[in-house]
Amino acid sequence: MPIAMWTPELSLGVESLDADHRQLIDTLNQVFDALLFDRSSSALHGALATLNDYVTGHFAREEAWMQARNHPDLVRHRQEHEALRDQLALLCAMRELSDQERSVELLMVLRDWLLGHIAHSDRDASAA
Amino acid sequence: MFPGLGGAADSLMARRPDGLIHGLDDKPQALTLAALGLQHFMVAAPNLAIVVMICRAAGVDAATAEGVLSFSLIVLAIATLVQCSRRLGSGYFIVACNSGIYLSASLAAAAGGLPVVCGMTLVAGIFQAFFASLLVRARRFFPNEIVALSIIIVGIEIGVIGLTRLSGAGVPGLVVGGATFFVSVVFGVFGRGSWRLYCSLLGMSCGYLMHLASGIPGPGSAGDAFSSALFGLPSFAHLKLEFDLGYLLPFLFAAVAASLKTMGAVDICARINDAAWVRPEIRAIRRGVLADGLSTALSGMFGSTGTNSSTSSVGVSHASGATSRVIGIAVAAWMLAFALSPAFTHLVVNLPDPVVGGTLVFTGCLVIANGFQILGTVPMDMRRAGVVAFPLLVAIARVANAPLFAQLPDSVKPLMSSALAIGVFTALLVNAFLSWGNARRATIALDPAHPVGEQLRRVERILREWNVAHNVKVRVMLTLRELLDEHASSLKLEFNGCTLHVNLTRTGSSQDAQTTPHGRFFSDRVSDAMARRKRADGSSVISLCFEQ
Repeated sequence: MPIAMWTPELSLGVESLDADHRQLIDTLNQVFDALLFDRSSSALHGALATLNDYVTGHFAREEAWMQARNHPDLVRHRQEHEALRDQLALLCAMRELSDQERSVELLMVLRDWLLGHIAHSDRDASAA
Repeated sequence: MFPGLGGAADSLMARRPDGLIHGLDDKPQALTLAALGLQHFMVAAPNLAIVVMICRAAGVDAATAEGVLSFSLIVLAIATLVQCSRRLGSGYFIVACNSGIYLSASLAAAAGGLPVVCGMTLVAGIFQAFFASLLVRARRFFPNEIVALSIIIVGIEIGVIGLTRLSGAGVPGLVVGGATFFVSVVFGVFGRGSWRLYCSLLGMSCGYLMHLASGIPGPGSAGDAFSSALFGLPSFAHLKLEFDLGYLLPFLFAAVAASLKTMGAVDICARINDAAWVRPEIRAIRRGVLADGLSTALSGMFGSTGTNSSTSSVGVSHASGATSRVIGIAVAAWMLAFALSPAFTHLVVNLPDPVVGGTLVFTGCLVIANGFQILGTVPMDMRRAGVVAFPLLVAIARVANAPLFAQLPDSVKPLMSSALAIGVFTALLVNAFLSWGNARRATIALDPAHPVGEQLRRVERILREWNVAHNVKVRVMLTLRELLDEHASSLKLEFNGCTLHVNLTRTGSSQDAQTTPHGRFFSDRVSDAMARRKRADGSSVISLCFEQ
């Protein structure tokens, strides 16, 4: 059961960045499904690996795109990326939690990422 | 269905699933519409064998049976249109069909003649229409295990009646019935695309041809169909109602089972049509059951047998990606066209007994499999096993005519005349008994000094002790992870074996994160109901419910 869906309204108009955002929504749905059907262990490790790649590749692409457009919000945007990177690193380090608990925490991070960063900051950046 | 998130976040909740070719509100082109309509008619058509069988049991002649069949199709057309209407029915594309649920009760009533079958069908339909509003409120008395059980018993009844039918014509009849069943199974299991879709119809056609070739005497000559008029008005001669309260209970229990099945069909349609589905649409379900009841009542009034939602047709619309409610108009048009065709009704009325038997055995198997699928979604414990196992045993004993039933007092015998009635009745009793005093309650004082993770672990331990299903447990965890903060002061949990109620009390703060769409992103989506109320002392309570 997908809990979040990608729609054109979320589009930044840049295919590579939109593809990255779609991937993030897919990851959120996969982690949620795995949690629901008691398959958290395998899905969590896959999702964390994907997100670790994501924060290097996607953030760099997004920042380069903003830099090319001399975007005034670049500094604030970089700070948001840094905060998300820290959250992910913290989550990877929380080994005392069970996989199910870590999945719940990861979903909260992805929720904030999606609703706070992509649906607002990124869209504002594309509109500017 | 649930509140919007505002702004761009709203776009995360688009409802139309990717796989749909013709969604709920789409209007396919005329030719496509006609083809899809015919396809669904073909899928529901094998159930006409049920009407034929009841007519034969009631001893009506072939000409009258053709009239009954015509009126059955007219009522099914109206029922399909009503069910597809957003104002009158569920609003989803659900095809109406003659239902095997009423078969056992109708065959018993057929001993009194067709008017008794029709009269009692009318009563059952009216009861179901009233039951629609009650059903939604009394959902906890009809948990999934009872829904599954009633479907399994219907399957057993249909299958056993089919086996009896196909063995009535000796060894040659057994061969024809066996071939009908075998061909349906082969196409159903190994067939691809349309071959698989029409497996039941292919089995019937093959059996019909074999019967013609074998020279076994049948109820009439199928060849006469070619000399019958292509179009003609049906006869009204059979329209007569009689009532016999002796058959009341079996019909009422069949109406309960029909309501449960329609409830499931509407729920499946809601899921198919909404990629962001989170909880059952109560109003659509109520209207769907109401429409189903009224259709059955109308069917009785027009001299035919009980109707219900065709779950095979729901499956076909899912597989074909065509769920547009406009297709319902096309199906209804085909039903009307065939209703006004004496050639078609003649062909169906003359279906040989072994072919009807083979088809019913196949249908019974599919229904039983469907019931087991639902049962598979229920987390089994001793209580639920008791709710399923003992009533199933009683129902099988009834089907097998165990001597036990002959020894019971006459006053309870009407209830015992149908395996479905006695099975569902026993299950309701067992469920009520085993659920009595079974509700579990816990109150947890939330200390802001303790980390959220620790509070969650405490809740999880309690839910594990109560044997709450995993999916409910993780939905509660996700919701509480979102809602628990420094303002949360206490948490009340209550579980009745079916529904988990969660009440979270919060102090102070008029504006907090939980009132924003962002702050209740998961709670909105994973809970089955969510309400918030303010108290005079300034605190507030968030009430959530999770259906198992």
